[in-house]
Order: sequence, then structure tokens, then C-alpha cells
Amino acid sequence: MKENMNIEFFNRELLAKYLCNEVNSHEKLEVETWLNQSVENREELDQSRKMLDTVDAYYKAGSFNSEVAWNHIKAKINPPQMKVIQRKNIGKEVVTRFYKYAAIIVFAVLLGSAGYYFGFRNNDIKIYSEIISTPTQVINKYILPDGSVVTLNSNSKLIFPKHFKGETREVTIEGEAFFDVKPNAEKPFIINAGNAQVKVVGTSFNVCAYPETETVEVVVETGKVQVISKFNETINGENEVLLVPGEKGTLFNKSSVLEKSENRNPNYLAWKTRDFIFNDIPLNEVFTCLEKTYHVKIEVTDPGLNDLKLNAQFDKKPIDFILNVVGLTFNLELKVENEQYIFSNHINNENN
Amino acid sequence: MFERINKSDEKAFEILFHEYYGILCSFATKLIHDDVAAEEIVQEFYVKIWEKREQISIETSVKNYFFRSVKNLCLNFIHHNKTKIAHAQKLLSEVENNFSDDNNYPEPDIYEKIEESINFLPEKRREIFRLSRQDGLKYQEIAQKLNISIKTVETQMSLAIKTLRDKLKNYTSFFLFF
Repeated sequence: MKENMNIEFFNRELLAKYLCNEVNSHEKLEVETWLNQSVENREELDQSRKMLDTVDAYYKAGSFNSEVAWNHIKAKINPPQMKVIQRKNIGKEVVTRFYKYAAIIVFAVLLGSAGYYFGFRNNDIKIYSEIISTPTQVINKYILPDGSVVTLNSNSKLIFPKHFKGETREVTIEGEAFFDVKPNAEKPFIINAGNAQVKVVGTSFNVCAYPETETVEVVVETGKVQVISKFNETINGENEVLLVPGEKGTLFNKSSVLEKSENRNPNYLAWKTRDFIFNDIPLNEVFTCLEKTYHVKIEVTDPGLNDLKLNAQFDKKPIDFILNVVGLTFNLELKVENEQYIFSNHINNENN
Repeated sequence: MFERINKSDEKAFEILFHEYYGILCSFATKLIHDDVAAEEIVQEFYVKIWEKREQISIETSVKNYFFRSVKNLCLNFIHHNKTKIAHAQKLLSEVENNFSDDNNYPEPDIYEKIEESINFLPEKRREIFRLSRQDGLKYQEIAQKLNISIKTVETQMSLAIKTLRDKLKNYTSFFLFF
């Protein structure tokens, strides 16, 4: 009661102004004189100040996005066998690669592409992360610092900076990955894939650039993607191609030819989706595709079986299910020996 | 709850994550005055908990354990960045003096009470209060933005403060922490 009396005698609006730092020097003195008159007066003010501090902290807490943060944490803790290396000073391996590319870039400068060079230099190489998948592991939906999402196929490596500084977002891939790039027209996303460079603004596409294979392949799912050859001389004159959905860009490492074609393989993303469509596909091609996705070995006892053509569709089925369907379709016998699946001709062995 | 995390239950971890993320970030910001670093500290803390989930045994409460850990990480951060932070010494003593009592960490659900109380304010008053506290606008700026007189802002702010203080008076023990 007494507090209320006091505050009624004093100007409540003036106190609020004092708490919000809105008082002039005269008003400030007036409030402080009042504060010094009694302990109750001071408590009165302190209560309000603490309440405001708490409410401020509430507003502050609301400014942090826990959903986005959770995605980061999830990517870090899951899958547990994933290896993330933080490099404070970039390691030897990356340095070598950097110099290799730097050499190409210096060459580019001599040719007059100074803009690209400076874009790269501004990329201030400081802290790099690597994600590496083991031969049997697919790393699903890893979120890069800019919010782009990458799915890494087995036996692959992605190198990216901890923060995308400068005018581009630049990463390096060895192996195969599917990128869903977060749109940012001001900061193009650049993927260094062996002898090719892939440049996009915001889109999703698949890059296949295992060092031991003879090609670098890019297949576009949505948006537009520019593929640039890093070879200085190209035989047919094409140095870059622009791809739209359904198209495939292929760079042949030996001949340094870069070409654009229609993507005829409906299963190019099967390693990620585990969805397969086979339209009249010979069994040996079917098996290659399955081996790559499920990391298994599939053999046939009779080479003639390879020519059988399969018409089937599988959505996220285990390998055992798919192979059983194949066996039933062509009346083949399926055995598992030494972690290999072996098909043999049922009829020849038993019925005849 | 933490026993489930000890047993690698990721769902339980996610629930605790969302429950405490904002409040821990807000707390860390209060300590080190740096939003970006605060988020990094809190995220690093969660990753560490998950990595060591099998060894961690919490004797007090999850809340105290979380706040105390984040406080220690913040202290480390200040120590490591002494040269960068102009007022490191002041910050250090501030943290030691103001945040030494484990019993005063806020329950995450106090924010629900705050939200309720703010929503209880008449719409216009709520907007004026939000512009002042959340967006940090001066009275003059609020008046211009809403095309009202400064006198109205003064009146509405004083009424908002009075209402919120009355509504939240049962939670004053937590106010100590801030």
C-alpha cells in the first residue's frame, strides 16, 4: 500500500522514461533525488528494471533460430561415423590442390580473366572442413555454412571453407555428390570437380567426379547450371556449357572434350534416393547400378544371363528384395557366397 | 530425461535442444556481448554433450548443468579473447559477481509466462512496448513510426511496464539472474 502511495505521488511516466534512457539531465536529477528518499522507492524502480531486463532477454532468446541450429547440430552428430576435420592451417593435401588450381588461375589471368582471379583470392583461405564418406557410406543432407544441402555418395570427399567469404561460395568435390544450392544471386556457388568447374546461382544437380574415372558428369535436376572446363585448350572449341533440367554435361579428362547431351539414365540419383526404374535394361547394367548403390557384388554363372532385359520399378527396397524379384522374374536361382550374390540358371540345374 | 540421452536417444536430445537453445544463447549473449560467438558456444556445447553422452552424469539438475557449462565456456571464451575484448576485465568480474549463484538460472518456461503477459497488453500498447524493447527504438522514433505523439508513447510505455511488472511479480526470484 505504502509503495503504491509513493508511486502515485511520483510521476510514473517519468520513471518509465528513466528506465528507457529517455530523460534529460533535469529529469534525471529529479528521479535520482526521489530514489534517494527511501529504500522503497529504489526497490520500486529495481523491480521494474529487472522485469524489463528479463523481457529483453526473452526477446533476445526469440531472435535465435533453434530449428536452423538443430540442423547444424544434427549434421555434426549424425551419422556418427562421419569424419569432419577442422583445419586451422590448411593441411598439406589441400595446399597441394590449392597450388594446382592457383596455377590454372594464374594462367587464366594471363588470358585476361582477372575478375575470376580476384574472386578466388578474396576467398581468404583460413579454416577448411572436409567431409569424407567411407566406401560403404552415403552421407545424407549435410548442411553447408550457407544453408546449401549436399548428399555425398560413398568414397567421396567434399572440402569447403568454414565461412564463405568473398564474392563466391567455392567448394571442391572428389567423387559424387548431389547439391541443392541455396539461391544467392550475388554469391555464385562454384564447385571444383577435377578438371571441371560447375557454377550456379541456386539449383539442384548431381556431380560425379571420381578421380579414377575418365569423365566428370553433371546432371541437372532443377534450375540452370554452367559447367566450365579447366583445360586451357579444348578440342571442339567448347569451353563451357549451360545445362537445364534433364541435360547432362560430360567432360572427358583424356581428350578434354566438354559436351552436352540429354540425360538418358533415369537412375542417376538412385545412389541417393534408392528409387530405380529399369526399362528394358540388360541385367549386367542393372547389376552395375545396384552394386554401386548397395555396395554389394553380384555375379552370374552363365554370361548369357547378362543379356536378359529387365522391366521393373523399385522404390526404396532392400537389395535382397530386388534380387529376389529379379530371380523370380527370370526363374533364376539366387545364392549368397562370400558376401557375393550369385545367380544361376534354375531350369538347367534342376528341372532339365 | 538425461538418462535417455545417456542411452543415445536422439529424440530426447532434440527436445532438450529446442527447450534450452534460445534461452542459453540469450544467456551467453548477456555474458559475452556477442551474438554470433554466443551461438557458436552454445552449439559447440550441445555437440560436446552428445559426444560425451555416455559419460555424463548430472547430479544437480539439467538446467543448472546446462547453464553452468555454458557459463564456463563463456568464461573460457573471454579469457581466450582478452586482447580482442576491450572490457574483458570488467566482463570477467561481472560474470563472476552476477552469475555465481546456481539457484537463479531461469526455467525455460518463464518465457511462456512472459509471452502470455505481453499478449495480455492491448494491441497498440504491445506494439509500442515491442518497438521500444525488441527493436530498441527511441520514444521519438516510435512516435514518428506510428504517427502518434511522444506523450502517448510515454503514457503507453509506463502503463505497459506497470502491467507487466504486476503480471510477472511472482517470477521476480528469477529476475535476479538477469
